[in-house]
Amino acid sequence: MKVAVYSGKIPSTTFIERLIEGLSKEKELQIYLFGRLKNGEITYRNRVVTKSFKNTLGQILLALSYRILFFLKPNLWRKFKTARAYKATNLKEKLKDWGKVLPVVYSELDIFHLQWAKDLSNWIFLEELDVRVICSLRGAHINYSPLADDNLARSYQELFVKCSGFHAVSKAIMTEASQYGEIKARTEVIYSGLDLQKFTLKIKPKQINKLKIVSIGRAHWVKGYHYALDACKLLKDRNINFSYLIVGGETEELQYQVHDLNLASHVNFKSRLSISEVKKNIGDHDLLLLPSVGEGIANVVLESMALGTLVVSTDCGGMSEVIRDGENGFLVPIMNSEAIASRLEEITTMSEAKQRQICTTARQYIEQNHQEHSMITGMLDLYKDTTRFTFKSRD
Amino acid sequence: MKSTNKTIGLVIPAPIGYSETFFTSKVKGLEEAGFKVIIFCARNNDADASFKYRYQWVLSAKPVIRVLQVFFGLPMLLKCPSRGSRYIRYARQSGQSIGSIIRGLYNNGNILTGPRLDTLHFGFTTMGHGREVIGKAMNCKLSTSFRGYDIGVYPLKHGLGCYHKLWKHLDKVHTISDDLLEIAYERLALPTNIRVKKITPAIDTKKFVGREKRQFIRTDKLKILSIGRLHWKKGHEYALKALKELKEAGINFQYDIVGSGKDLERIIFTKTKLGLESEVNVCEEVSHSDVPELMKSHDILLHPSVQEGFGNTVLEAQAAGMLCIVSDAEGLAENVLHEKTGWVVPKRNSAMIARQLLEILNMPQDELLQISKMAQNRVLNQYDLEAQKSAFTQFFNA
Repeated sequence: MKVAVYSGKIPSTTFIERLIEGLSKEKELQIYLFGRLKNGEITYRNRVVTKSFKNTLGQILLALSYRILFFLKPNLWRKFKTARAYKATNLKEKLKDWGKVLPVVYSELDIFHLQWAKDLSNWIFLEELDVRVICSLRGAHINYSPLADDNLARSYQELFVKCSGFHAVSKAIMTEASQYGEIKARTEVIYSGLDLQKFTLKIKPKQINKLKIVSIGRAHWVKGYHYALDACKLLKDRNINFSYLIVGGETEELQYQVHDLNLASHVNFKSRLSISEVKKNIGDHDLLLLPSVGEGIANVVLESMALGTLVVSTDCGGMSEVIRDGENGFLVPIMNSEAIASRLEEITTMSEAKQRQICTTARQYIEQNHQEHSMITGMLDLYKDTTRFTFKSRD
Repeated sequence: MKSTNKTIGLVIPAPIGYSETFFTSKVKGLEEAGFKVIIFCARNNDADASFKYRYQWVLSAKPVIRVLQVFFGLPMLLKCPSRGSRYIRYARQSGQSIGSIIRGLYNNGNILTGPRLDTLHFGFTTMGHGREVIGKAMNCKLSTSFRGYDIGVYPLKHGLGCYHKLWKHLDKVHTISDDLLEIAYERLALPTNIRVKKITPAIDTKKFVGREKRQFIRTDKLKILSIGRLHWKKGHEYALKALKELKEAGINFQYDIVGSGKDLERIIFTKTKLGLESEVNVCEEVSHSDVPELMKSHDILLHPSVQEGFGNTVLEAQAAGMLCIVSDAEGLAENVLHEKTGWVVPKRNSAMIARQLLEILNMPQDELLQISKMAQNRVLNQYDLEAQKSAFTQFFNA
C-alpha cells in the first residue's frame, strides 16, 4: 500500500518524523515523502521514498521532468487536468504548483495523509483521482486559526465533507473540528506514541533548595509563556526559590516581560534544541510546565512523563485526556497565572515519596497508552478502514 | 505664522499613511510654521502624497545585484563630495569597517544626495541605527524622538548599549513622556548634556469635543471600548480576563475592541475560550474619522497596555468626554491622573481592572461627570495641536 505522509517539509516536526519512523517499520507499507528539503541530514529506511526539491529552481525542474514523465501515463494526466482546476495563475506559479503536486499524482498513491488541515484545499482534488485523503487534526489549524478566519472556517465546512478520513490527536480536537462538519464517523482518535526504549525512567531526588522548572515549545502566544512569566513574578514575590528555562526561542514580548517584571535572574531562554538535547533538558529539571492556552496533546508532556519528570499542565485541548490531576501530574486552568503559581508553590512543599509516586504513575500511564506500536496500529486501522485494504498481521 | 525657512529632514520607516494622524499633524504644523520638511523613508504605496519624500536606497540581498547597485549608485555621491568624505571620515573614526562604510554610504544615499538640511530628525530612535554619523556628514544638527517601543522594548532585544554610538553624535532629544526619558537615562546611558524637550502627543480636540454626556453608565448595558492595534503591547488579554470577572459578577456589558493587527487570532481565541463571544466584538476596519462617533456611543475607554509611549487614543477619549481606565504602562500614568481625570491600574492585572470597573458602576453620576469634565478640560488645555505646533517650532529652531 502506498501512503504519503505529507507536511510539505522534509524532515518535518518531531512528532511527524516519529510517525514516519513507526510507519516505515511496517512491511505492507511503502511510505512517500514529498516537499521541500530543509537543511539537516536525515536518513530514512528503505521503504521510505522521498521526492523533494531544495529551492524554487529545483521545484520548477521537478515540475518539468514530471510533465515529461506524464507522457507515459496519458490517462492519468487527463484525469489530473480535470481534477485540478487552475485559476488564472502565472506560469511560474503554475510550474511551482506542478513541482508540488505532479510527483504526488504520478506516484498513484492509495492514501495521502495530510498533516496540516489548512492545506486541505490544495490536496482534496486527489480524491477525484482515487487517492484517499486523510487529514490529521492538529493544534493551531483546528484550535484557533478558523475562529479568526471566516474564509478558513468556510473552507473547512466545504472540504471536510469530501475528505475520506481524519486522524485526531485527541478527543478534544475531534470535538473542536466537528463544528465544521459531521466527521466523527470518519475519525480515529490516535494518541501520539513514543518508542519507550529511547526514554529511560529516571526519577530525581527532590531538590530542597531550588525548584528547577522548564518549558519546551516554540515561542508562540498559544504556548502561554506570558502567563507562566506572570506566575514567576508571583513566585518571586512569595520568596520561592526557583529557576525557569524556556526552550524554544525568545520573543520580544517575553524579553520585555522578563525585564519589566525584574525576572532576569530567574528566567533563561534557549533556542530550539535537538530531540536528544530536549530529553537532557527535561531530565535536568524538577518539573516541566506546560502553560499553553491551546494544544492537541503536547508531546513534550508525554516525553516528560516517560522520563520521570513531574508535569504541571494547563487544562487545554486534550491534556486532561492524559493527565489526572494529582495522580500522574497536575492540571491547572488555562490563562491563570495565580493557579500556576499556587500549584508550583504547593509542589515545593510536597513530600519526596508523593512526587516519586506521581512520576511512577505517569510512566505507567505512558507505557499503557502512548507506546509507538499503539499509534502505528491505530494508524494502520485508520488506513485500512479508509481503503478497505486488508493488511497482513504485524511481524 | 511663518517665521523660518529652515529645512528639516525627517527619517521614518515608511511614508506617512493617510490615517497616521500623529506624523501628519506634526509635519503640517512644521510646514505652517515655515519649515520645509523632507521625509526620508522606505518606499511603499500608502503614502500621503501631500508630503515630499526621498526614498531610501535599499541594497539587494543578492550579491551580484548588490555589487551592481554599489557600482552604479555610489558615483551619484560625487555630486556632494564633501558630504561623502565627511561620512567616510566620521565613520572611520567611529571604528566602522570598509564594508560597513560602503553599505552606509549606499543606504543613506537618499539623504546624502538630498538638499541641504538644518536638522536631521529621527522620527523613532531606532531609525538612528546605521545613521549615527549622518548628521556630521550633512553638517547639520541631529535629533531624535523617544516614542515608546524604541526606548522601552528595542534595546532589550538589541542590547542596552545599542544607542551608545548615536548618543555621541546627537544634539537634541524629543521625548513624549518623562517616563521614557528616565528609562533612557537609567537604562540606556543617555548623556545628561544632550538637550531634551518633552513634547507630549497632541490631538485635534475640535474633532472630539461635542455632545456633553449627561449620563455615563447606561442602566441596561455598560458599553466599553478599546482602540489599538491587536498586538501584545496593548494587553488586550488582560482586559478580556477582567471582563470575564465582570460577566461572572452578573454585569450586562458590551466590549468592543477596535483595531487590526497580527494578534487577531490570539484575541479571538481568548474571547472564545473565556466564553465572551456574545459580549465582545472585534472590529478590524474602522476609519479614524469614525472614532469620535464611536467614542460618544461608549461609556468607558479601557486601555490595558503593557507597553505604551503615551497613548493618543486616551487623549482623544478624554476629549470626547469618556471615562478612561488605563494601565500604568510608561506614559499612560502621565496621560491620565488617577482618580482625578480617570483611573490608572497596575499593568498585567485583570483583577484590578475588574475591580475598577465595578467601582465605577457604583459611583454617583455627578462624580463621574466631574471626572470626565476635568479630563476634558485638561486635554483641551494641555494637549491641543496648537500648543504642540509651537513646541516643535521651538525645538527645531533651538
